Amino acid sequence: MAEVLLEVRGLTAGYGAGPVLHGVDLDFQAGELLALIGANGAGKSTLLGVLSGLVPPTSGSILFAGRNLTGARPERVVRAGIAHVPQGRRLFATMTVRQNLVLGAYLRRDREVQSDIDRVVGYFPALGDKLQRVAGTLSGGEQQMVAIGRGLMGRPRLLMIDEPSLGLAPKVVETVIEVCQSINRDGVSVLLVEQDVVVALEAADRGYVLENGRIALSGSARELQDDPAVRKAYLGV
Amino acid sequence: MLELAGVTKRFGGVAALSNVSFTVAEGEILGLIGPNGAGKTTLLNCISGVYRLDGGSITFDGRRLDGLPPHQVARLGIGRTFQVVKPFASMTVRENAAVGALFGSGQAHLAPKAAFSWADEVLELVGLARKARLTVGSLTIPDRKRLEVARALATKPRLLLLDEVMAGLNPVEVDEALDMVRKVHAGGITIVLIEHVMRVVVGVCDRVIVLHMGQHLAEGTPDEVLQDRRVIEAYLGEKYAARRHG
Repeated sequence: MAEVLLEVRGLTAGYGAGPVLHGVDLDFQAGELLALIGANGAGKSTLLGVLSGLVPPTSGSILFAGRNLTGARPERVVRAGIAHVPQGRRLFATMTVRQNLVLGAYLRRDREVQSDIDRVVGYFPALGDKLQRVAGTLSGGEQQMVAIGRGLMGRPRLLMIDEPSLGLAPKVVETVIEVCQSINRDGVSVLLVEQDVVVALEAADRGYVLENGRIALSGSARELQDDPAVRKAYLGV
Repeated sequence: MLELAGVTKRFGGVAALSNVSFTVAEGEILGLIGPNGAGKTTLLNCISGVYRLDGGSITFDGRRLDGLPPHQVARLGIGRTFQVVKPFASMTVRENAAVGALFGSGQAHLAPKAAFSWADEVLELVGLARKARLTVGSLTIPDRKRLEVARALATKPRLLLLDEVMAGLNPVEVDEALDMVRKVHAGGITIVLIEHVMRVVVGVCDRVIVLHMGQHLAEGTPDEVLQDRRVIEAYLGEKYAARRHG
């Protein structure tokens, strides 16, 4: 049986005005590409925030590769092997692409950072001649590539990507999602939060549906694609 | 209603728009699509007076717009939304909409009371009436986009320019937002919208113009444009095309 990478139990969290997450359970096998879908406001980004230590949980537990990360600070989470590619890219806009990538390796002490920049360029050839460009001047698609690349620079075991398709042309969405799949094939587990449910379920192995802060449904991507409730509520067909 | 002739805009040595010409007829919903960086938002910025043109002209109801500052363009009856929404964060939804009413078309010296009552009407139209008293910070992304539309509508435009107001919505949320666009349009407002979500383009646009590298690449009905090989190559990608026909 595959190794359990991430085990979330009864996770509750919020921002003062009442909880956003109400007891979320999630099981992630090593090597999976998991899609997390749900309406705006369902709590998807909050869940990523709790997993990466940005939002403190009020109850529940997070076990990652056998270690207890419940309430851990972000730097410990990153060191444990979880990288968060936030919604809206959040690049250091006035710094170069290379500087953004190097910052993703901030916690590393090894000397292989340059070879990992090459690896990122291998995934995103479009960035090859833009390493010296100021990140804020790139197109939306290129900025998303840098954001994912920056996440990879920490050599994560789990890469969490929040809505990579936001504001991107259909063709660029395909490219970005295909790269997420190749990163996954190369051994990195990927948690993909995506409003483009069609694209997300095509790419994923399994999916979770978050509704009003609770996991309403989970299953193989194929099961979810065919589920009448999912089709009606999220695919609009 | 709106006519662009040979519109050109450069940034340093880069031509963001080269010689773009098209017209918008009164009552139409026109879609503007194209790759990231194709010049779509630059084009809206040229129409709404944020940028000065380096060539060409823009005419609205027979009157030259190019050279006018944004507030004058707004007063002539052109409203717009911004891709990155920037509401007044400490104010309520209703107050945000009222600001649009106070500074909109031909409403100089509008009394605050009248501005609030017009704000209530537009909030009703976009489906935010029940949230009028909330501060903006508590709104979800789809609601922030609705507020952005409400602020533009509050200026009483005859032509409304929408810049990616459906980004970040799932297909069902897109359908709800499309109902809002149809309602606005039914109120007699001509609409030009930028979108990457093809569900929107197919759902409401009468006509679509494709920009690529600052140039006019294709134009037609949504069906014509989405089948155009050049558009698939530059913008949609083969997977999208296959899914559409699959």
